[in-house]
Amino acid sequence: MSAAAWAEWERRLGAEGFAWDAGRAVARPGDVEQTAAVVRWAGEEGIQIRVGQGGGNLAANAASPAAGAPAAANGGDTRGNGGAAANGAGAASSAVAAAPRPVLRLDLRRMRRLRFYEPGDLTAGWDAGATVAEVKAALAAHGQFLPLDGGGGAATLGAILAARRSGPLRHGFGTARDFVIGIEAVTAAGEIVHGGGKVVKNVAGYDLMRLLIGSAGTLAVITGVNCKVFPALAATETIAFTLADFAAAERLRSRLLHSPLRLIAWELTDGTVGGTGTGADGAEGPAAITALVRFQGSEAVRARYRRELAAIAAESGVEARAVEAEAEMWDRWEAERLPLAMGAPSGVAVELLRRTAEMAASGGRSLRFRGRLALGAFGLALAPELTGDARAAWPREWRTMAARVHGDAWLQDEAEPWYAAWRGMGQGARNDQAQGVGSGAHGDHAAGGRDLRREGDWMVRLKRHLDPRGLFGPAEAGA
Amino acid sequence: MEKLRAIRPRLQALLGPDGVVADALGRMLYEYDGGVDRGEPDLVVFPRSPDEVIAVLRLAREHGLAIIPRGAGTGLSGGAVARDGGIILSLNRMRKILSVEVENQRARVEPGVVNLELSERISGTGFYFVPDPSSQKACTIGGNVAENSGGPHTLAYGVTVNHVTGLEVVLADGEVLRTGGMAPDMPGYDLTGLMVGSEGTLGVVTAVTVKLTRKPEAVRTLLAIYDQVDRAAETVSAITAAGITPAALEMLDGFTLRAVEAAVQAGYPLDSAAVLLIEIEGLQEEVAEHAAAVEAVCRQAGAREVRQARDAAERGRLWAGRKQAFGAMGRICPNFYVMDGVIPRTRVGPVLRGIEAIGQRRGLRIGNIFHAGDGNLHPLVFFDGRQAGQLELAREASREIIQLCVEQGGSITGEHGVGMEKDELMPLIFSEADLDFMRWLKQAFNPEGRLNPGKMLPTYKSCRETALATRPELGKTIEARI
Ligand SMILES: Cc1cc2nc3c(=O)[nH]c(=O)nc-3n(C[C@H](O)[C@H](O)[C@H](O)COP(=O)(O)OP(=O)(O)OC[C@H]3O[C@@H](n4cnc5c(N)ncnc54)[C@H](O)[C@@H]3O)c2cc1C
Ligand SMILES: Cc1cc2nc3c(=O)[nH]c(=O)nc-3n(C[C@H](O)[C@H](O)[C@H](O)COP(=O)(O)OP(=O)(O)OC[C@H]3O[C@@H](n4cnc5c(N)ncnc54)[C@H](O)[C@@H]3O)c2cc1C
Repeated sequence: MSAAAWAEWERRLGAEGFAWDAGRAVARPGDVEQTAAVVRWAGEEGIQIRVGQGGGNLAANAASPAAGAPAAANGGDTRGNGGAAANGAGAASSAVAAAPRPVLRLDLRRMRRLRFYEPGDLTAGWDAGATVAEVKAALAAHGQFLPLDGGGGAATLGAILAARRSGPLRHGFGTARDFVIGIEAVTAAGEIVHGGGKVVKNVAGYDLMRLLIGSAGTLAVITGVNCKVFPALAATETIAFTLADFAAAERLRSRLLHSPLRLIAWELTDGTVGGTGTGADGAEGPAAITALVRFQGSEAVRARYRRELAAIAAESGVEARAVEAEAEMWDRWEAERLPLAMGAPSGVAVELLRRTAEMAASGGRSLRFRGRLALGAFGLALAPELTGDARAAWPREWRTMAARVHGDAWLQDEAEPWYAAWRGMGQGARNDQAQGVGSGAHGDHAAGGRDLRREGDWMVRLKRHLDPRGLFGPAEAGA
Repeated sequence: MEKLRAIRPRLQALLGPDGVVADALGRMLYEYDGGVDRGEPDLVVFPRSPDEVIAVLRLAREHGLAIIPRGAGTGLSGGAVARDGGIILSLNRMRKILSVEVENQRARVEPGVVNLELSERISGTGFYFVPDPSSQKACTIGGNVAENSGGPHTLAYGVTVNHVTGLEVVLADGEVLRTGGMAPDMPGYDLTGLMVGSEGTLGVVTAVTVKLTRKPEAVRTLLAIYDQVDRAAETVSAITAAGITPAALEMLDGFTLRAVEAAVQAGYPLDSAAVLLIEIEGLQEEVAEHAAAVEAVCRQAGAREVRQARDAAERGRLWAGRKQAFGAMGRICPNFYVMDGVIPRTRVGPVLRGIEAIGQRRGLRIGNIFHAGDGNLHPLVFFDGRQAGQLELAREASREIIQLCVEQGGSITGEHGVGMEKDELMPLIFSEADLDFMRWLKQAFNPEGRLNPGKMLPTYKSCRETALATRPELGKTIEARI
């Protein structure tokens, strides 16, 4: 796009509303109307919009025209991939086929207003550009909080929602899908639309909150978010269990699942990531598989937890210790960004982790992981990281392996295009009778000869329906 | 009727003679649900399997007939009513529990499984299915999914959508879409979340994967008794503000509790102006502390007395009063209209006063029994349907109550859905752009609009104007909403 054309944008948006960032055009709208105008103009001029700061590179991938080709599946986008450096070699851009549709980055950080706050009703709403740190500070002033512990304080609410990021407290408090009660967004048509409202219970209309949370900036620009908030945590404690192997981790998981304890966080790590083991809480010794459980309450309540957990440790023959300075440890817990995410039904997730570690080991690598033990959702990394073709092939190999453990297991590699995981998830195996440990349990409802549309296909179809011109990135390669 | 003559034998061949109801008397039973709306279906069919559902949908498509999915018909917004003819597709014969996987905390069920049946069936495992609509002895899980139903205990644990992780849905063209599954946080668009609460307008649910939750170790039930309704209302905000989330926090006003007491003998004092039924769950230690804290808050807010149920039997009685209340109401008045609206929890007092004023103005008796903890009101508007104009009067009062909720920053429905009862009220809380986007979204799944037509989204563009013509100030409410 010509300099003159961009100059016109600069004129429309004003000095505050338009900027150049390392040679790339960035729109910085001041309110939702301006955001809608930017989207409409971009639509008219055939410009593609990439929402956010480019830190999470889902949208960057969406903009990568070559991303569908396996050999180039590690390709991010040279122009927009702010995360590439942090991601290590894997996300370094390789083949980006020429498709010079001009790209405008949309940065909402000027939109950070607290829209309303009713402490007595435990509800509040913000512009989507408000940062996690700002949200936390506003709530802390009234002794309230949101479980936004899945990333740094600099991330915007919109980005956290779009990337459906959550942290350890997701165990006790759910994800954004559970606490967002209203949403405002700008659609590909440049229309301002709303879903939900300001009250904690509401079933009027389609659930646009659920639709847009996790949509990675590919369907609409999230401009406003209303939340149900929580009373601040009471006094908390954390106990770490050092585990000999995956089998011990699984026994502990099952044992705790059947106990009446109501933990607020319940993590498992290989010990190299998260901040335990040899990590940040200062404990000595080599990295070991470690489970951490966090609970809150009065002294009497916490004493009960300590008692029960000590008994469980003794009975299982595992070592348990109280974590010092646990709040600080949890603050750092997600600081290291892991490039892969996986999920599986909780009862088979540890077994899947074990097989993943085996798969890594057969390639001469070790598996690093950190995640929600009770839910079966983990972040993963290989050490050393894979590169090139091996990196591109790994998710496919994993999906083949995992399908034998459970048909619903999924993997998301941030170096892949946004739709890859969904496609992968629907890959045949999912609806076959799963073998190995968990049963797919589709039983009577096996696909048979039915005309079964895969969910991934549907997501792509929905993307095309809501964003036919690919304003927020193409539906998939070549689309 | 040409279409009907053609499709009927084909449906009979497919589903067997007892799988199709075509006679006038039989169809009459399906003219209504639990609400006040009526509509005559052309046919009612009872498939036994997803394959039969698919076949029915394909036939309906071929013949250009509408399909109205139906569970137990306990819905209160006319969702399962054939508004403009068509085929009612009952899921009642699909009631198998397909699998129970405690270690995965999941179960997979057919849509016709009755809500309570699932929890009863797995009771030995120590786990249960959280959503507990008061109709749980009759309503189906498919219906719960379609309405995103709540219940007294969804205050602390979330409504149906928070407990569903996957669906099998047959789309309007007979194709099957499986969304989500047994794993958590599956990547991509949350099609499961979009389907839940879509009131049968996006697809027919043929299987549901639900979360199972560990039963609490301890439960304590409190009954706080008040001489003034306002005091009970203040308690609701005080408990919320104190940072205690009870498992349930229900309110009954004096008129309602007396009617209930007469029928159920739950133990509510007849001379009180309101009671709060409060339940605390968790670890024993926690429950003891929270119960003491809640009791203190109640007393401070002016409760005359706070009782704690001594045993399971007493607890059961207190809850029987709540859960059987609607039935009890039938004894005191020939008809009543169950409303559903939501307000911020800080506004319970003023809104209850407003409702009373509306009733007085219109000469209607209005009782209140509701999920106070999440601001979900259920005013019961009593009327005598045998008298001409009474139903209309009740509807008008109800609409006024909904407008009051909206003015207070609330919503037109908290759990009963929009259905055909409130489609015209949608413009009170959504702009035309919002509604157009929802229509467009529906297009993706239900392009011909043959799935549950005339529900949820207002059909006429002008309706916003109609609604706003009566209350122009609501235009501002919409703008200020988010
Ligand atoms: C597989 C994977 C693993 C990850 N693991 C970690 C981890 O372990 N730790 C960690 O801290 N982070 C992790 N992240 C990144 C994390 O999700 C984001 O960093 C976080 O959400 C904050 O966003 P940002 O500011 O970096 O991103 P941004 O780049 O601003 O946004 C992230 C995504 O959201 C979209 N987006 C942003 N704002 C909006 C909006 N207003 N409306 C619509 N869409 C919007 C963007 O287009 C992009 O797709 C991971 C991401 C992926 C994909
Ligand atoms: C006494 C009483 C108490 C109640 N208490 C509560 C309460 O506490 N909380 C609450 O939320 N509700 C309550 N309700 C309302 C009602 O019970 C719920 O909405 C319930 O979930 C409806 O289930 P159903 O099986 O009866 O569905 P139906 O009434 O048959 O159908 C409801 C809607 O779901 C659709 N539907 C049904 N099955 C399917 C399917 N398989 N696929 C797609 N769409 C489908 C229908 O088309 C319709 O739109 C109460 C009702 C009564 C009569």
